[in-house]
Order: sequence, then C-alpha cells, then structure tokens
Amino acid sequence: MKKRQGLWILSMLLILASKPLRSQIADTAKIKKFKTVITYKKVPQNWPLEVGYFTPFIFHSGITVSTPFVYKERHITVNRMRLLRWAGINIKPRKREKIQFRTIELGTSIFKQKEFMTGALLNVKGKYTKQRYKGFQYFTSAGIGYMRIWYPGKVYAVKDDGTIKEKNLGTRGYICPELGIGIGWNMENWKRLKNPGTLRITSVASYPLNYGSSASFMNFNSLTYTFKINKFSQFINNKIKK
Amino acid sequence: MKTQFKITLFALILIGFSQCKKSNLNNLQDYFVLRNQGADMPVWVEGNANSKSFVIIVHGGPGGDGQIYNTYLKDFSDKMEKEFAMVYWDQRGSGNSGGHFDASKYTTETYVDDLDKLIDVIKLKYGNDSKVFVLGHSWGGTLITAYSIDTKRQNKISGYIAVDGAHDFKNNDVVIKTFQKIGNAEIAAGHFTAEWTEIVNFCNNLNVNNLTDSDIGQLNAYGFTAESYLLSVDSIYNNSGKVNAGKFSFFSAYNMPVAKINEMVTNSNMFAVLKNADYTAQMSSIKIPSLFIWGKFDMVVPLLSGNTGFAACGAADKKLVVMQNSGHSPMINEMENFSNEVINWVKLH
Repeated sequence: MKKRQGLWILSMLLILASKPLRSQIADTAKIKKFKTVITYKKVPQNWPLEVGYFTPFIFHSGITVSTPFVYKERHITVNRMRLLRWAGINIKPRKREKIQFRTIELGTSIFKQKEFMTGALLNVKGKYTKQRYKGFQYFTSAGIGYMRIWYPGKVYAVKDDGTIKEKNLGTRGYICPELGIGIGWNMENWKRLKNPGTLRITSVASYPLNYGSSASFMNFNSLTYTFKINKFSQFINNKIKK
Repeated sequence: MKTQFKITLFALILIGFSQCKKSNLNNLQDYFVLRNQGADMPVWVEGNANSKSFVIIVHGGPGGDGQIYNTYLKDFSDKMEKEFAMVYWDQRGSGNSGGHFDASKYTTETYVDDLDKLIDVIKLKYGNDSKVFVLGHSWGGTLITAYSIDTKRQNKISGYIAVDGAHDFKNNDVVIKTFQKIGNAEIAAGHFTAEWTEIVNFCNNLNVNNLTDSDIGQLNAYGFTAESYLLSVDSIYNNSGKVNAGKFSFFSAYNMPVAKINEMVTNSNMFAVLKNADYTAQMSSIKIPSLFIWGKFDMVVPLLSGNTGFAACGAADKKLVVMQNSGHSPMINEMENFSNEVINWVKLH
C-alpha cells in the first residue's frame, strides 16, 4: 500500500515538473519561423568628412582628414519570437536592425614624432563596417598608403673623400600597406547634436616597405569624428559630374 | 566651415616642421641625422658642450638603441651630461634609424664606416679641437675595437672605453667556463639549484670545438637568465637611479614597434657575421688611452674575456675596473660607481 502511494506521488510530481517542458513543446509548434529581411539601401552621394586626432604609436601629436565614400549599405532587419524555456511564456517580437557598410576611404594625416621626425601620410583603404544596436559599430580596413618623413634637424652625408654635405629637412618616402581595426558610435539618432555624425577609435598596423633593409611595422592610432557637410558633398558631386 | 578650416590650418602649422629645442652650450640639446650608405641614423647630442669633450655611446645589440642610455636611464644621462656632451646614436638598423639599404650592408666594416663618419660630423659641427671618446657597450665594444685597431682611425679619438665589450665573439669556451665556475658556486650555496644545474649540465655536454648556432644562441640566452638569478640573491645590484620607463616608451623619440623590428632584423643578419669574430690579436695596435670596465658577474661577455682584451690592448695608458656587483650592464647595476669611473677617467684625458 505504501509502495503504491509513493509511486502515485512520484508520478504526480513528475507530471507537475514537466509542465513547462510540455508547454514549450506545444508552443514551439506554433512559433513562426525567424523572419529576416534584407534590403539594400540606395546610398546617396553624401561624401562625409572625417577629422580627428592622429598619433604614431601612442602619444605624439597629429591630425587626420579623410573622406569615407559609402558605396554599399546593407540593412538587415530581423523579427524574432523568443521563449523563456522553462516558463513557456511568449514575449513580444523584437525588431533588430543590423547595418553593414562598405566604404572606400581617401585620407591624409600629418604627425610629429617628438624629438625625431614629422611625417605625412596619404592613403586609400577599403573598410567594412558593421553597425548594431544603438549605433555601435565595429570595423576592419585594408589599404595602402605613402608616407613621407622629414627630419627637422640637419642631415649630414659624408662622402668617402671626407667631404660632408649638409642638408636641411632631409626626407624619405615609404610605401605602406596597412591593416586596421576599430570601434565607433553612430550618433545619427542623437537629436541634440546639430550635425550628428560618427565617433571612431581606430588602430592601424602599417608596414613601411624597405624601411632600413626590410619592411618595418608602425602603429597609428586615431580618434575621429565623421560628419556630413552639404557644401562639401555638393562640391565633390559637381566635380564628379563634370 | 570657415572656422573649421582655420582651426585645421592652425593645427598644421603648430605640429609642422618645428626645429630643435633652444639650447645653450652648457646644456646643448641638438639633433641631426647621419646619412651613410643608405642608412639614416638619428643622433642626439645633449649636455655640456662647453667641456669640448664628446662621449659617443656606441650601444649594444646589434640592433639595440641609443635612447635607452638617454631617456630611460635618466639619472645616468643627467649625471654624465653635466660633465660632457653625450652623443646618443642609433646605429644602422637599430632604434629609430631607417633609410633604404641592402642587407649586404650588414657587415662590421659598414658599421665602422658609420662610426667614422659620425666622428667626422661631430668635429665639423663642434670644432676640430673637440675631444671625442667612444664608449662601447657589449656589441658596441666590438664595434669600437674594430674601429680602433685601424691606426689612422684611432687617431681621430681621444679615448677608448670598453664596457663589457665583446671583442671576441668566437671565444665561447670563456662563457662555458664562467657558467661552470659560478654555476657550481651558486648550486653549492643553494641558490636556484635546479635552474643552475640545468645551465651547468648544458655547458658540460657541449663540444666546445663544434658549437652549433643553436648552442651559441642558447648560451647567450642563459647569460641573461643567469644574471637574473644573481640579481635575486643580491650578487648583482640594481642601482640604476631613476628610470623613465613611461616617458621612454610612450613620450620620447623611441618608437617601440619600429625599434623591436629593427632589433630582430639586424640581430639575425649580423649573427652570421659576428659568430667567428675575434679581434684579440689585433688589439695590440690600439695605442690610445683605454679604459676597460667589466662587471664581475657578467655572464654574457665574462670577465675572463675582459682580462684577455685588457692584456692584449697595446695602449701604455690603460686601466681595468671590475665592478664587484655588476653583470653585463654596470650602468644599470652600479650606476653611481660606473659613471664616476667614466667621468674621472675622461676628465684626466
């Protein structure tokens, strides 16, 4: 008798404990499939301007100006229904938008490495940016640049016959392939700003070729702000149309 | 928009081609670049140029850098610069140096030529009556030895200062003997027994007459490791005074990624050149005043090597100073004693 009672209690407990699981199984059958919508936005020729603080390695002064041309923008809108597993509760469907940008960027930077040299960079790079929730972005880039450095002190070249040639502002040029990564914040929805743009922190690994006897490695970091200037965009667009 | 352009233009002018800091001869702050055989080598000249004595720091490596003796070892450089003008030179393929040159330029002769041209430029800039002393540390000792054995060249300088300088890269048996002697003493004293046993056993198993490149590299690496053990038991001191690691790494001319790549490339290129180098026999042709400073516990270029070099040196006016609590870098281990020795000796000459 006691054994039967025990088995009955155990069965009831099992049935009660499995209720959330049974609800989930039942509800799962009713779930709509994940709905993903992909749209390709026609990109207006807006030619934004990106300016900011630029530094070789860590703490040397410099400035960077570039214009990232967005040639492809991909919007992915995702509708999902989710369940809390053990409670079998449906929550409201959420919409999430992901944006992927592909940009070509033309830029120039000037920097001064303290007590050593002044440098100027001209570069072109392709950038792939993903934008997520509330404008948070992360991106990678690859490109090529040309760096010219100037030595602010004199350059002395001594010939084998002992004559010494003195030169002010000696200079050298290096071709630099580069790879970059970074994060950013697109503040387009920030109504308080008059000209909302995007804040970015970028780190670039640059490889000056034939630096000394081989390629070398330089690190450039920047903090930049991208904003749209209508007059600048119009100017560029007019030039292109011509 | 106009304001933005004005600000940009102003910033460009500010960070543009600024010249050297203002300085006077008592506290010279000069900078120039030596261009030779495709290499651009930065040179900083700082200190008391009124003394008319210029001490060229010939750094180690190959592939080290001159700024370590300047910005990093702040107390050392300040003390030396009060007395003389110190010349901090980034050699070819070292530190911040750049340019374009072929890997075939990695020879001791090219480095000697670079040093020769540097001395010519110093005499041009600061007067032919300037006294130039060369202070070579480690590989720098090799370079100044290779320079000074040439009679014509040694007459351009007033003194030769070798600090744990490797004039005989080839003599690895000296290194092995030192490891065995000091290693056994440390094992007997119960210091880092397992670690020293590993080193001593490695040395015992080597065939001195048939060392591979890997063996030589391992001996060199063990040298620095062994000194760290000796530092822990206070056989070697760390009395470098104030060091400026933060300023050196991030706020000075030193660019860490560039310097490290330079070091790697130069070191690997010069290894083949240097592993059979031995200038001991030729040191008899060094006739200028010579100072040898060696750390008693130098496990990289042992004191035995220093003794040999000192004995071989042909100068009538020569001095050997053994720093009792130093390893391979007495300017770090016993900065005060080291700098006093150099200052007093240079003042005498």
